Amino acid sequence: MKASAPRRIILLGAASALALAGCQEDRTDVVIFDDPESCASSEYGSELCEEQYAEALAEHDETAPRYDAREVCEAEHGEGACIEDESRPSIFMPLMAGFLMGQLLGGRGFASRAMVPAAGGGFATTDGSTRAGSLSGRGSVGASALTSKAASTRNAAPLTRSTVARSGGFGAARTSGGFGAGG
Amino acid sequence: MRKVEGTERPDWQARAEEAGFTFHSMHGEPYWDETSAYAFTLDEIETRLEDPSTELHAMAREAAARVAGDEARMARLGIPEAHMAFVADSWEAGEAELYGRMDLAYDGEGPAKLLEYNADTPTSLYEAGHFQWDWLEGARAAGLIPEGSDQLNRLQEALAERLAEICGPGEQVHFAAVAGAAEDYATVETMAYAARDAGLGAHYVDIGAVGIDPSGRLVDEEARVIGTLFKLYPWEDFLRDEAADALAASGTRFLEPPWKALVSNKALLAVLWEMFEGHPNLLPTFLEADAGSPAWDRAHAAGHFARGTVRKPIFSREGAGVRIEGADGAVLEASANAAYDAHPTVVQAHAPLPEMGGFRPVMGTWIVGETCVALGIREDRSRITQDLSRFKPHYIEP
Repeated sequence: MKASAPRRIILLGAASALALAGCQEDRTDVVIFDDPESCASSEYGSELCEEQYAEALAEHDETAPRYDAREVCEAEHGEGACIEDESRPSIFMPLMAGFLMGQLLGGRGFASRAMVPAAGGGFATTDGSTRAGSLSGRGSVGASALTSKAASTRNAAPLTRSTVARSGGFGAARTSGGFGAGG
Repeated sequence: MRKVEGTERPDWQARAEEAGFTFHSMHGEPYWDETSAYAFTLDEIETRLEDPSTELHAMAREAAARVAGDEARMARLGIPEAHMAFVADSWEAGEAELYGRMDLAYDGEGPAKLLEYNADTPTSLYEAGHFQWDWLEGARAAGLIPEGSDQLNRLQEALAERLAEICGPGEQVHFAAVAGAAEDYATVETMAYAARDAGLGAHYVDIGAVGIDPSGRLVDEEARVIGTLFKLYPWEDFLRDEAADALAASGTRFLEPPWKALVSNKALLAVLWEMFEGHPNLLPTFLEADAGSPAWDRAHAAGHFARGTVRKPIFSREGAGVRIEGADGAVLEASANAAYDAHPTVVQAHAPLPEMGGFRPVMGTWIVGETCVALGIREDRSRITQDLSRFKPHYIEP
């Protein structure tokens, strides 16, 4: 035999099809606060709020993006959004504007992440993976958004103008018009 | 090889629609066409198509090894200077290749001749791997072809095996294509099914939605880091994108790996002829700039150009920019698509496709990893096989 019978597949023909291939993630509810006081005035007690705030502060210090100039930082996070790194002069980082907290799946306690201002308005985790429009509110995120750890930047080389985030820079060079890019 | 009429299943359109194979007809013309099929003997499949294709892939690897790390050669292959190290490093690191499709001219008599090797973004994966098999089973059951008929086709299983070798268990793979192209999307979706068979996670991302995070990693539109990217988007375009300088530092594993930019490049055909001059499965091919070299003179003296020449841009898809001239220089056929004409061209000895029932078939042999595993045939009324050619099933006679 020169062949092996393939499993029968059905082409769904839309971008949603690949969601079936296993990327649907469990979601978890989260709350965003700008400081521990506003947290404490919600249904959460002040003890939990202080603890989660401290966790977010430590994460911010460890993982907030570092830049080699204030202008580069402000271009990414907005005017007035950047502070000098206390331990490394002349290196700039976005200030912590608030924190996002939520209950871990399966009732394994709470976790929180630092939120920093994002360019063009809104806020994001230090790795940019979870975004929020404001610093008060509730929502639901993929469960891994609470538990994933951003890379440490505390001692990393600062980002320069040429290395900061870009997107939409791919796909424009394609030569074949009309029939897709394959062959 | 013979062309056998009367192999059409009465219910194939319903089956195609059920399977989501909706582009079986395009622009009012059939694309999938099973009214006739190509029949081969087992010996013919093995010795004329399968084994030579596996050997040609090994030769292409040798040619890639020669070109990688030689900047002057890479420049002749149109690799942008800024990305030569990225391409060469990927070869040096031994990054594994996934798949490719060779287009061969084969008339049933002489050896098959390599026309070109789309080793980067071949499409028609669903048709070759799935619907062709569906036809074999149905045609056998309906008595349209002999009961013991076989097919050179272990495409889907081989892809799943290869993906499992390349990726770690349970790894998440992103699949990228240009938005809005149904045929491309079907190939990506078929590949994603193979990834799922390999125990991997599969996510889709439009190539235009791929972003770069502050640490320089590639991310999808939900800011998930892209660890492995299967991209149905050619390297020659990827390396010319505005953000191309971010690719090397991204830490992403690419499928195909960057060194495939050297293989899926018609200038490689010239390197192959230079290294393996006279090989029975190669056509004499030269960069336009090398016309008149001693090897060029030898090929002419040997009569290799007696049936004319084919000029094609070193990067082109679906026959774009291809121009065929007879031995007397008269144009036999020329593509009206000029999208790739800015690229350098190669000149290849013309190996006319056989004419069978008014159509000219091209053999498409699929390589997975380093081995030929499947055959898919497309035929066209024209001498240049283009994107409106028809896909034809094949079988091996018992």
